Amino acid sequence: MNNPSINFHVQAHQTDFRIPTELIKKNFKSIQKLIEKQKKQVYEDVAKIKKNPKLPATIKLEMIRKLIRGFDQYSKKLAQAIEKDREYRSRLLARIDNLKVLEECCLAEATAILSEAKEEEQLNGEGKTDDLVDPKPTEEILPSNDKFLDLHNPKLINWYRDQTNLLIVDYLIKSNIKKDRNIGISLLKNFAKTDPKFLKLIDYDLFENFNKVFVSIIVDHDLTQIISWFNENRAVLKKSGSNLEFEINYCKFLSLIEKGDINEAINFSKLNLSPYGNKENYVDNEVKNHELNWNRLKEIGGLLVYMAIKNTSNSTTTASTFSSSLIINSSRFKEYEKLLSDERWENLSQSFLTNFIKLYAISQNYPLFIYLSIGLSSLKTKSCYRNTENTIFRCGHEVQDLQNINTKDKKFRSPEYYYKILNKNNNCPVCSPELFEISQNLPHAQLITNIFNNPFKLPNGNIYPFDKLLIPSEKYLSEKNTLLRMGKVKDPLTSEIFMIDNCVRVYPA
Amino acid sequence: MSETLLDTLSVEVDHLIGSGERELNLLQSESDSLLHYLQEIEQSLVKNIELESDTATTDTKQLDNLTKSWYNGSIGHLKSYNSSINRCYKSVLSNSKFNIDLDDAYSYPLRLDNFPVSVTPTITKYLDVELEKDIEDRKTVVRIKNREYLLKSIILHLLKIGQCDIVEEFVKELPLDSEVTIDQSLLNKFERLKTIVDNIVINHDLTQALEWFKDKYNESVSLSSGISLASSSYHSSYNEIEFKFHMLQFILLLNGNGTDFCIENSLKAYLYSKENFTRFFKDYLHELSPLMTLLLFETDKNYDEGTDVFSQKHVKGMVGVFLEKLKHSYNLEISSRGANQGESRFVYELLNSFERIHDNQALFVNLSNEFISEYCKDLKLSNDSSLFQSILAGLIYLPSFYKYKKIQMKMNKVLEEKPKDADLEFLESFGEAPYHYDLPFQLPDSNRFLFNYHPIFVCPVSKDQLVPGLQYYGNQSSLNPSSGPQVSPVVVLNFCNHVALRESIWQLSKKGTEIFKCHYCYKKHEYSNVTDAYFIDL
Repeated sequence: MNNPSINFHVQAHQTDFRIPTELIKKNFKSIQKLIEKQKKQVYEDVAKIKKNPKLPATIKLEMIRKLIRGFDQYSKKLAQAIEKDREYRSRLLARIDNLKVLEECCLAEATAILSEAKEEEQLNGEGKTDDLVDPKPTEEILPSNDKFLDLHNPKLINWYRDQTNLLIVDYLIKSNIKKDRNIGISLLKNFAKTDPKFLKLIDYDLFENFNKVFVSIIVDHDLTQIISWFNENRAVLKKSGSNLEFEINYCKFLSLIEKGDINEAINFSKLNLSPYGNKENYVDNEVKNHELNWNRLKEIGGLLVYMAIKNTSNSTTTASTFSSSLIINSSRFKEYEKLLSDERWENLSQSFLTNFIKLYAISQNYPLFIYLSIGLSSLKTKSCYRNTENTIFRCGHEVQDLQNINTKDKKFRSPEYYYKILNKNNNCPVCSPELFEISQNLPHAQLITNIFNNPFKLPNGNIYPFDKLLIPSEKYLSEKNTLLRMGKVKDPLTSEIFMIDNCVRVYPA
Repeated sequence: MSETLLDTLSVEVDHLIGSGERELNLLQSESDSLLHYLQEIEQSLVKNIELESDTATTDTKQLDNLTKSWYNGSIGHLKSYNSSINRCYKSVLSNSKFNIDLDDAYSYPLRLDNFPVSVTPTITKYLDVELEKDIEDRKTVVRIKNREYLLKSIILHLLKIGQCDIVEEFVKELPLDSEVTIDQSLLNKFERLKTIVDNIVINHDLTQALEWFKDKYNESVSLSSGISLASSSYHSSYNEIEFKFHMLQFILLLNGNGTDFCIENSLKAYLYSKENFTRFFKDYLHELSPLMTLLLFETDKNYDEGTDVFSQKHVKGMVGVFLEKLKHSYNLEISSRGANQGESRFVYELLNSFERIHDNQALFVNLSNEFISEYCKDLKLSNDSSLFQSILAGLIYLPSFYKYKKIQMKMNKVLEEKPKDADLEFLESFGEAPYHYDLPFQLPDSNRFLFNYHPIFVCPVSKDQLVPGLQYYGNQSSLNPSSGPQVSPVVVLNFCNHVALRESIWQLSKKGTEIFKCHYCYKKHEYSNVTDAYFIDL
């Protein structure tokens, strides 16, 4: 399973099917509730009518009209819910269709990849003939129900382009930090202008809402959104042993303390926190939560003392007693300080994140990061360097002027320089200054020798691809052609001129 | 032959979708019909009141029954939808065959946060103070900077895919940093690129792109007539892609605006070819000739308006047969010839769909991608979005990383592998990966052709990859100190022209003291019988 196959992509897109199904399920539950509620109402009303068969017609009419109004509303709500369901189903459909594109981009047979690899080796020249005899270990057998993808197919590459854009949108929506807007959503809408299917391929609304709740916690220090999110998903969360409710209450308690509403904090804790101390209130899968919560609850008393000390030390600004300054500098005191710092919001946001991820079986890391980390590690070579030219962002320090240099200096033979001097574009993504930074801590890929064809060494040690070095240029009278006619060649880097007879073909592998 | 995962998935999803549509519609109609009935009662009551006859007792029993049947019906539909949902869970979502955890492939975490982080002023303060901070702070700084880098590379990506109208918004996301400026002239050029690309992809209009090629051609002509730059001749001109554009333009002209061919279009196309194709005769005669043949069919088809339907049909049929033969023989020819493969394929595709050229959207998209890459080359930028290329590599190599991790987990090695922790911790915080830090496995080679950006030399003796920058050379151990700082890391053996790393030769020759044999051909050499070498790609 080392080469990309259809099955692998299907597996990697699992979440894309999970989320809409979860949403369908959630919506389904609300439909169920809607029906039950309506049923209760209707049954009551009908019972009333039944009980008094002798009611005057006007009153009966009134009651029937009430029933109709009720049903009208029910019907509208139902229609809305069904519309939602339809939207989620359309996403599933769009995603299946999106994966089906892959079926058109397969290699005819699993073995095709092998023969192709051999072909390429042959093209790469001699020195590798043994490999043809001895089949490479990369040979793999796929299960009969899978197919390798044909990376030569431009359709597939374009498919990957769309995937990349989706990954970027996903990252941007989730990682947004602004309250008033979400750049990921704007980008998605931009994409959707030319290709509306983008809106179906990502659960942008869910992620946007997730991001809003997250930002409301860490930026606004506001609990309203997380509370309502919790209530919305209470049943499912409870089932999975979530500790989020405690975290919310605990955070609220700390906020009350911080505000100085000690009495209210105590009342709040009596009502909302103390039940967490009781082990019987936990189900089996929550034992860990109990321990965790219990330890934190034990500290609450100390926290109150801390508040008391802090208040007194604040009020007596002059000469504080030795003992109180001792306390203030104790590590315990610092811990309480930390407890009341912004850290609680971070903790709560992390707890929310964990719950959200678990609920929808989303990967813990942004998928963009996963693919980027793998991609950069696979592409990172020991020849990579920070290619400051490959960007539109200009940094303070300017690029060295390469016009008046002695190109015979050996340092200019390293890729860092020779690309620039030779006016050659470096297309390596790891060399682009931004990704170069991001890939700093990643390993290098293990590669095999891959030198241009026919490496040709000039007497000064520079090895060039023979064809490019010696192919005559279009203009008959060009310098290059004139030299060629004399059996000479000019080193493009150092401008030295050599007899071709003094140059040799070398064999790197 | 078992079903593919995609088949299973597709069947299950179809089932779910069908069931949802059916049951929810029924649910709706249950409610509608009850509502309808209630309205009937309402009307009859209204009538009764008008007639002032209190006699007609409404059938409460029926009301009772109907509401009950509404409820039971509704719940029934829900139940059957529910079972479809559960079935989908069971056969797909909880099915281990479909389950892979992407996180498992994330063995080498980026120094980036996995959740939104608000950059508070206290942290930005640290950004300037790079050193003397505790590790936690440095980590934070690295992470914030990396987020900035990522955003920048996203911006570049968006520019290169023609989304430059949103770039301004993105720049606002970057932290305010006076050091970084955006090259405005490049930005403007990307705006031009966007118009050109939109024209190609949306309007199927190549004129602007062709104009650009013309400008570039004139530029290069005027350049080469003057003092030629040392290197300009080493780069292939715009020939290949420009050729494709001209060919497509020819076909577009041939198609004209209407759906039917007519003689005027042929004339236009002919004139166009006369003006523009000469430049390509030398290299592309094989590709040009079948395209030019298309001109002839034109006249054939509209031979005479008076011809009867039968003969028209006959001609059409003949043309069809001939075209098929033409395509076929052309296709055979492509595979037999080595040169110009890409262009030949393109012409084949044109031949294939020349009558329905506007339906072949992929053709325009692909061509626009090629144009973008040419355009970027001209701007001295890499020919594709770096972010896309990296992600593409990620998409392709993910299976290897995933598999490696799985094997590791199976062998319970994950925990034992950790003595490197200090190293990793260091990397995690701010370090650069050392040159000996390699992926522990080799990647499959079959798709490497997409990513050959550097010439790579791996020493056949030591299996070490060449680090071509001389500046790193000092870091390598145990080299002949007398050779000075400026020695090349690669050497060529004088008698057989095989190549190896200097370090390996140094070891083979027992630090220059002994005669050694070439690793390939066993020719005898001394340490002094090697020459410096530098790989330089053109």
